[in-house]
Amino acid sequence: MSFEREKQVGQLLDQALGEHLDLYFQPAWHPQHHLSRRRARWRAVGLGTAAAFAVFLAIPFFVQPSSGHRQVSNSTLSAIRLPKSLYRNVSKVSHGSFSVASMVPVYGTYPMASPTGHNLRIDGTFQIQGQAGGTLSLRLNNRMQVKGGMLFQNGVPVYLFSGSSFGAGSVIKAPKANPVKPVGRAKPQWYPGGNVGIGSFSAAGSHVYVSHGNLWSDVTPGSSDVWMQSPKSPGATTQDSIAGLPASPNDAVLMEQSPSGLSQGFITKNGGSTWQSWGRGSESVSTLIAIGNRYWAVINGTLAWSLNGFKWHNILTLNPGRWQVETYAIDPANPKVAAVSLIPISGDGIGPVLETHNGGANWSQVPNFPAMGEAPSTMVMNTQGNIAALINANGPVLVRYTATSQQWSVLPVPVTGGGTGGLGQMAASGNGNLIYGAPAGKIYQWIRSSRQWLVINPPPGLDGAAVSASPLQAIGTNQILAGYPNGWAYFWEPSKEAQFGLVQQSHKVRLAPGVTHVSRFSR
Amino acid sequence: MNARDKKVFDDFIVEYGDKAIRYAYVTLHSRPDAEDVVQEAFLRLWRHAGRRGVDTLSAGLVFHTITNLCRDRIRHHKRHPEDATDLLELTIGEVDDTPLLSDSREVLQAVMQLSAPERQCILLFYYMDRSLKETAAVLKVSEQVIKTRLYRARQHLKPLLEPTWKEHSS
Repeated sequence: MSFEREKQVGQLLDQALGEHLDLYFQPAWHPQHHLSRRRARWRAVGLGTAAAFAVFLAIPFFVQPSSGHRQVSNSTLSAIRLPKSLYRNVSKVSHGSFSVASMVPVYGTYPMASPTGHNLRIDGTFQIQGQAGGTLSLRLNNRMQVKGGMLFQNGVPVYLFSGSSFGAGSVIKAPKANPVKPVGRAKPQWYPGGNVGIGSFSAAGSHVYVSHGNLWSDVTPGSSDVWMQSPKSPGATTQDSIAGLPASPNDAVLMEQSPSGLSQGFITKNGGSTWQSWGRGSESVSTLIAIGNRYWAVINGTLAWSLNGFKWHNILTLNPGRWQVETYAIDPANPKVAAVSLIPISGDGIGPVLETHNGGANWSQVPNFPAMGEAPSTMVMNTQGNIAALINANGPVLVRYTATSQQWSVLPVPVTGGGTGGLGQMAASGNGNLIYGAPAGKIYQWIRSSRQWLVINPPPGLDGAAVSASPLQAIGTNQILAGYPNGWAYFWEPSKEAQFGLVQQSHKVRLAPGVTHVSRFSR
Repeated sequence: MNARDKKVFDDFIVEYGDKAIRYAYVTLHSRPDAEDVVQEAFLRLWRHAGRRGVDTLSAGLVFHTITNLCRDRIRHHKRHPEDATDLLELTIGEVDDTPLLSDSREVLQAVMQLSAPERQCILLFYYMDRSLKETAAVLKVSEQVIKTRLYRARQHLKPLLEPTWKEHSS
């Protein structure tokens, strides 16, 4: 660059920036104008703040506090005041006084852990569309507007409606249930298992692993069975749960849960002769089951599976500060398909139900889940991806999700006769039939093909407690295991495809000291 | 501030206002940012004049203030890249769309391709007619640094401008 040219740089820049880019100082940028505008803004802000403060100070002179605020000693802290519009709507269907029994938040979206509504339970005397009930369960949005509800009479759902209108619903008629019929000369009957209440049960091939307190046993047909202490020889307060692998019946996982709620795992590869620690120390483990060649459990609040019990794979990444898995369901034919029910980590509230079709790589929310005061206590899934869930709300309610229509519906259950509310149990058999343990102890089978309920009375001698069977599990397609507080038994029902299963074979049972043998009985 | 001081300040704005906005523009590559910076700079100068008198105002003070504000603005854009516009592209686009004379357009485009410190040196030295010492004072560096920067700026400008200027000469 020559010196002459260099001298022109300033002039050329002036020309480019001024004449052609129009870069000039604007009169409006004068600091005097700027300051006057800024002063005006501050004046407006000051006046607004002063006005707001004055209104705030004047509120007590114009707004009277409600009686609840004035007389704290007359109402409990848990008392919930209904908005006027909701109070009017409930009054229309109520005969006499009513009171709010509970209100729990509903978290309808994942992963956001902010409530999308509430579930309100009101006790009183209600009459809707000719149906009388003592408990009204309402689904509310965050504006306390009604979005649906269900009427219960003695713990049995009798009326269901969706939307804001109480009258625009349908009556839930309790279906009838028929006894299980004999097929030819084969009669359905109960076979005794033992005279102690069992904590967990798992059938794997010819092995039947059961646990009771801190003891476990393998009641293999034809062998001598004893109750044995779990491997670490824990105290009497330890609770064991056990699962045997159906694909490899000699493999089983045993979880020892200490009173603190933490469990230690032990694995056997030889039917319980020797045990190895799972090598993970103490963790929070619940709902241990085995399907096909995989163990499944809720470990530290999230769903995990394992092929050998040593290495576990979490398939749902949860924010441990917000969510935990309450229960889950696995497709019996495809372990990549699963559904989980979430609850907030506080335990207070109902979360969404999620499902995956690719082994946990992606999770989607199962839509329209009917939040009815409680999260599902049990879920099962069939090979079509349909989900059945048991919700122990004001009484047990069975709901079903149809994958094709993406809708949940209530499956009416027979009236149990005798039970008022209480907890129910649910399981599914290998052919997809649902098994429902009613609160009074009876067991009902929902036969999908004929769409009817069959009833099974509790086994003689074990029906005195009048509580639902727990654990309640199906073995194959024609056997049911039911546990009661004072014993457990198998139910065998004849069917055209029936194979005489393990319980048909005689086996000697050697019981632990202090445990007496229960003689075989029939229905 | 009395009437006389206001008159002096107004004259000061007339003398340096245009140069200030151009200097800020060349430094920042962004007209909105340059306008914000110049307004803020003259607001500070107004307060400065109110406290210490209008006689303390000087060209060095103007460009020094603008340089500091531009530096703050550039740092802000570096720390908040989501807020930053693509300043260079924006400027080149503006230049391309403007029907400039051949020489002035090429000079501006060439200057805009320099780094920010080199642009500031070129503008202060050649356009604002500041001495090496004054430029160094504005940019808070030594004269030696200014010399080096000017040298490098010329080296960078040379291949950009020389061919075109040769064409025009011939």
